[in-house]
Amino acid sequence: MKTLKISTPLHTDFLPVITTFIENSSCVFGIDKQGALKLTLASEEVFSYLCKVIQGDKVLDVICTGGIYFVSVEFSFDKIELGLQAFNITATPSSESEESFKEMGLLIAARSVDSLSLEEASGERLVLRLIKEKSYPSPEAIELPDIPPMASFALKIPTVDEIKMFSRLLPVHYKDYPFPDAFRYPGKLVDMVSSSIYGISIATDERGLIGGGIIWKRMNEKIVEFFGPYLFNQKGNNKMAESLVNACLEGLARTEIIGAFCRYPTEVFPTEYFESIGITTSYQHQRNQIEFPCYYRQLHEDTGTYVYVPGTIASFIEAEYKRLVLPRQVYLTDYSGEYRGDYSVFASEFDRELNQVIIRPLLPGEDCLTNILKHLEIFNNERILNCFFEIDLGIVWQAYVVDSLMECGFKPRIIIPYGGKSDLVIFQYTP
Amino acid sequence: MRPLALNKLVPSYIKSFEAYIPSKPDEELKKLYHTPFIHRLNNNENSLGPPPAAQEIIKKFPPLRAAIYPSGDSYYLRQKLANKFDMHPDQFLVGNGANEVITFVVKAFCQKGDNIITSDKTFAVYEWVAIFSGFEARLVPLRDYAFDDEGMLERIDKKTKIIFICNPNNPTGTYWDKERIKRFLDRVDNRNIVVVDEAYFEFVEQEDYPDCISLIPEYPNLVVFRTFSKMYGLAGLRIGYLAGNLDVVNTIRKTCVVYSVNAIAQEAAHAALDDIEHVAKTRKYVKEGKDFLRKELIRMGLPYIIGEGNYIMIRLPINDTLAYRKLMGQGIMVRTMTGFRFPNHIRVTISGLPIMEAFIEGLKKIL
Repeated sequence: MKTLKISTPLHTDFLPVITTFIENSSCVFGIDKQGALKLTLASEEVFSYLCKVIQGDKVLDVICTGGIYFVSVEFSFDKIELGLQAFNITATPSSESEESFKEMGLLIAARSVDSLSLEEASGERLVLRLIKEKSYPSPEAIELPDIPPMASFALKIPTVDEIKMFSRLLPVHYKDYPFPDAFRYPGKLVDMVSSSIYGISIATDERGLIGGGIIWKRMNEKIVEFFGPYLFNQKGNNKMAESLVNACLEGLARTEIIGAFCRYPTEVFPTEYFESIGITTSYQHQRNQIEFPCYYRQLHEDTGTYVYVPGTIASFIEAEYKRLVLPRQVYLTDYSGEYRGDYSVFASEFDRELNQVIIRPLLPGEDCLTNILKHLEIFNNERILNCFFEIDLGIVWQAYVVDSLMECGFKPRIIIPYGGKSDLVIFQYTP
Repeated sequence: MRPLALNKLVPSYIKSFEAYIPSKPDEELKKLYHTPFIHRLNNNENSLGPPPAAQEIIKKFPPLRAAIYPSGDSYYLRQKLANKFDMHPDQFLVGNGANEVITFVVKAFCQKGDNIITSDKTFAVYEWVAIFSGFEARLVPLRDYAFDDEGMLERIDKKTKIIFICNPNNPTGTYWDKERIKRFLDRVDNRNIVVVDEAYFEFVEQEDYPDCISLIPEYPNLVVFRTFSKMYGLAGLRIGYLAGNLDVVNTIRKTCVVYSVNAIAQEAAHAALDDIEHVAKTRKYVKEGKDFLRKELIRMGLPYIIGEGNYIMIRLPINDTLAYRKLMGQGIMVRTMTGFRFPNHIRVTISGLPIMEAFIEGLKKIL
């Protein structure tokens, strides 16, 4: 990945510097003109907003990163109490309030990009990150090869052409199976693998035909998510499935990755390499639902960690820790009325193909319950049936969101050890 | 004050490197896993402890001598090694465990753009030291669980400086016999430094197993590692050494941190070297332990890889990290093998029979 950085005083006089920087950087990093303009617009709104709300002689660091299939812009600034509620997907500007008008820009920013996140960095700094993905053409229809059952095969890191072929074969052989929409775009899958955020391994026969493959994605610095293993016309070839998983684990073994997670295991998933961490339900229509057992494994010996657990889910968490034999120091905690700001902020990550949204809390606030309900209303209107909410048990204020989640109909479904600062609990909403 | 620009200060090869996180102290692990005891079967330590003479040195070490620096280059220990192997004392370098001497060798021979060659499934420190020093580690897959000589020779290029061979290999226990080592050294033909790590040398009783220190006069590019951490039970004191051709060792000495080996370690190691009986006793319990495990594992239908050294690798029908946690719950600590690129395997240190029986009982409970 390549990065460009500028530091500017937080003053509107420097707005043209920022917009020129973002637009030119985005184009250099390969994003199309329209995408570059959207990212520039979002950045313009963020910068203008920060100029208004941050007082004094402050410096803003802006980092533009070319991630091959996306461009990201990071704004790094001193921690302040911001009116960031406009970043909620539910936010609607009100013409009656000047404050609300000021935040309309943030709303525009949030909706112009593919992803927005806010996180605490070191040294009392906040980092606000905007991501815009490149657009890729849909694959043209071509005749796909007949793939015979393979008694012998070799594992390999695929070439660009092989990744493209894999991308074409996947939707044909797994028509009714959930996998990320991005995998359908051959060019995008090639770029995702080039970015090193995704990895792929395939099994081929002596003629070079692809019998199967596995994809993994870095969810964060510590955890990868597996997709697959996918087999093409290799019914019952457990050896191929196992070899793909084995090769993948061996490749990750001496890296910083400490855990591997699979949300949608295929029928050939070798469960003996993993442990079951719960079940999620994939709602395809209101009356059509499939249960997916989720699997996880650690790559290291577990040296223990601590978690903050609210009373509402304490019995669930403790039972799971006992079942999974996870060494944890559990601190029971509940909200005790302390100040937490007026407005909560959540980030929403959509996958339209999976009919899914994952919500992550960014900031706590008094309006937590209302905010969750507003989000659910929007998802309901958009007919999104699979709503997940992630709570990091290593961050104490996130534990306080749990009561509101439960009140709104969310239930804890799975625990991903070390999925966040500490363990991550994934809640699912039952429509 | 501006924020620390750590990103600019750290080299890219360090950014992408994973820090090794050692296990917590036993007392902390007991609390976390709710167990009143821990049988340590994870680090291939000698359950008999150090030889009696070394134990006496440790017991009688005068506390006031802790205020005095030790010999900076392990003077007397090197004299003793020289007598034992009929070599010059300067042909030995003593370090704070074998890990430190690995670092000395890599620093002495590698510069920007260079590479080292080793196996993908062996002791990790050769690979780690190379990577966090900014050099390429070329990993050649094992063949039939053993180092692949032809594969390693094929990967040598002009930038290859060192080839690391672990003999016997940790964790598979396979070894190259004398003929194979010599054939390999002949093919390398002094183009590169060849390090043979003999950390488990004293455990091997096979007649065709080579004593590589005896080959040093014939092969000036050969460097041999030995340690006091395994057979001699001094792991807690951290002491190991290397031996080689005088010019080669004098070159390595330039990168050596003096005074890194403490006084008790030097004296205990000096005393340990004489104890033949300790070696025999250790070999006896290791043999008994291996025989016992073989029988039990066959009975349980679990595949295993057993070779030389005081360890065995077992293939489990569940993931090794889960097995680790479940066994820890019973006070049994094994080494997970995913980090050695053997997913679903564990490595178990051979200990006395009662502990091996406890391990098998524990294993039965979790499977």
